[in-house]
Amino acid sequence: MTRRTLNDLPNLTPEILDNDDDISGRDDLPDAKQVLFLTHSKGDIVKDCPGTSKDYLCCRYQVINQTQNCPLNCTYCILQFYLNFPATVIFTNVDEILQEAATKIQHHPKRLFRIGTGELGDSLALGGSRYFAECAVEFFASLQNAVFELKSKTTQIDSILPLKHGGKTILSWSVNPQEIIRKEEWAADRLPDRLAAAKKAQDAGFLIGFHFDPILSLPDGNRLYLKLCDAIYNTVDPARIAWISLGSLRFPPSMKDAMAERYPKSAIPYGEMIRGIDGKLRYVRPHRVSMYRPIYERLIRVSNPPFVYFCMESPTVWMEVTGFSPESNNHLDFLFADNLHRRFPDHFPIKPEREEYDHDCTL
Amino acid sequence: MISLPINNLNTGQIDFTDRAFDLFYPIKLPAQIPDKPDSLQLPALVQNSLSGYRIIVGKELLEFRKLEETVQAYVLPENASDMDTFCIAANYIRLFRPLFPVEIARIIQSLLDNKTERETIARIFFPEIGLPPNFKLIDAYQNCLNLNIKIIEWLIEKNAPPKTWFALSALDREFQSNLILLLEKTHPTLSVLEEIVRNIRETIIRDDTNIYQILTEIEWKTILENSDLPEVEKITILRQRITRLRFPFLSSHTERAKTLRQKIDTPPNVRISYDPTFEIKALTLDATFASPKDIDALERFFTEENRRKLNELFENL
Repeated sequence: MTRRTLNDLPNLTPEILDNDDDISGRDDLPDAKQVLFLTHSKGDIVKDCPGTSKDYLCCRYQVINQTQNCPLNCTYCILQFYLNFPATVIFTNVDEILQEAATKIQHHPKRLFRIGTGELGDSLALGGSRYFAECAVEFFASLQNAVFELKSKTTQIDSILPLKHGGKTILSWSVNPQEIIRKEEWAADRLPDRLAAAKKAQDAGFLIGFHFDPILSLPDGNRLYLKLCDAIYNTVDPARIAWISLGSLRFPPSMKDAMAERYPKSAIPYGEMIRGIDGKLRYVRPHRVSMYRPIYERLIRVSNPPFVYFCMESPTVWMEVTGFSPESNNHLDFLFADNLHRRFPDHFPIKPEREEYDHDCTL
Repeated sequence: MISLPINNLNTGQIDFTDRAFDLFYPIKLPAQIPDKPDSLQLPALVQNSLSGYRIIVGKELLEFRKLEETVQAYVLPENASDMDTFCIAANYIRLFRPLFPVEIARIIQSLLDNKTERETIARIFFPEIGLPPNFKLIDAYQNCLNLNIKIIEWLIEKNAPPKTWFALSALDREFQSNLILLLEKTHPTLSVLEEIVRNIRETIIRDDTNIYQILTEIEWKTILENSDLPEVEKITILRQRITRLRFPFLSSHTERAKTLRQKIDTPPNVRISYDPTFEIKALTLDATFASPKDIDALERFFTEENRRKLNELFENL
């Protein structure tokens, strides 16, 4: 994998380091997004998604942090302020990482694990991330109790489409109205291109997903987000969408000044935000509900709608928008598995049992 | 520790016309008698030059003692570089007080005018005066030279931190002149001014508007120039209006909740509260029982009408 990654960058001369070399203290390097560090992981790479607080429901997603940092400079991205390593890291010990995932989930064979890359960087933007994804897709095809997700804002799926995925990989895209993509996600692919890629993925037999995250408060937001919903449903078959998440903008207060300094013309840091229970700045709750509700109602207004859920939202918001709230994180986790089994029994034939999800199983 | 010779200088040899280093405000200390700059006997800092002694630090003290025959001062050698001179001067002042950002700005400008490289300023000069070797700080401090003198004096008086200087120096002339009106008419605290500036600035960026529109909308000048309003009330009105512009949804939601709350007639021993951010949708009733009558009062409180009003308040949280 190292060789393949280096072959993509023929004009660069790599610096070979000793095994023990630690670059974290180096101050001679340019911006971390311009430095690629290929290495083996030390320690666990497969972890629970860092859901922040017991006051907001978390779906118990698991993440594989094989790539750490991202070349897409979205203005609102927390990574640029959260990751303080002086390079973009790609772990190349693919077999070990996949084995780590398999070992962890085998302790709970009756529970369906949702595992993905794309937490600390786009799943497909970099070559090293894609090569890992290719191996992972075929690896997860054989696992009974896991589904693998690749999350991207790019259209780099050509090497993924021919793979034998066994219905166990979900290709998903983070989306926003094109007006926002143009202003705040200018290094990422345009919305129409992402949707076209999603259609290609669906035609190749993949289940797909979408993440409306972050949803931003905009002067004409209602119309723009409904237009986005329609664009998605006019492009892909809703019945073959595994899930859609909704999450409004949220970030730690310390990020506000840094964002304002880096992107002085962006209006994003200056929304009407309050400190949530987990300390993160969020839009005022009733305002979030007023943003979510029309999107949710549009998304479920089809026969066999996707599973629509909130990322890091309070039970109150769940109830006010959907009329229902999961009882707990465990319950939400179960609802995913239940929904996949009911809607895609060919890929998820085993009926999930609630009691298997009613105990914590931290990886 | 300054290890320079301290000399008794002939005041006639001091060149009061050489302003090359006239960059520093006086060192004023609490024990100092206000109209006697020499009351703490702090020596000045001068440098040998062709035209006599060039004043580096202590201009006010030396002018006060101009008519005396001699005065004590530390003397820098003629061949000391500008950088060394500024380092010594800055650190001399830092023995008694922090440098004002405008003083650092003036030093930076002077060094740049003398063709000193930005790299040298950031990597060599800044660490010498206790600043991190950060290039961005060069621009941030230089911007302080854009500040209106009245704002500079106010910031010095309030002992404002650098971040406040930087925030105000990013404002254009029109904004600054309107701020001066606020300073003159209301004498706000540092935190109040910071809040007002921050909220106005953020509203301008978020709503893609301009300072003129904002100040017109909130009747800035009318309120400040209204001699019938006390200072405190002027500030209160302006803060409320600016907050409403900055947080329109939260403001109207808060007012609606407050209106509904006020309709509920609670006995004196009962208090109703809710999360002012509305993140938690919950009403809290606190009741104090100092006597059996208080328990009766609480029981009587739960009429059908009050239940309806409580419900209405809850639904609107």
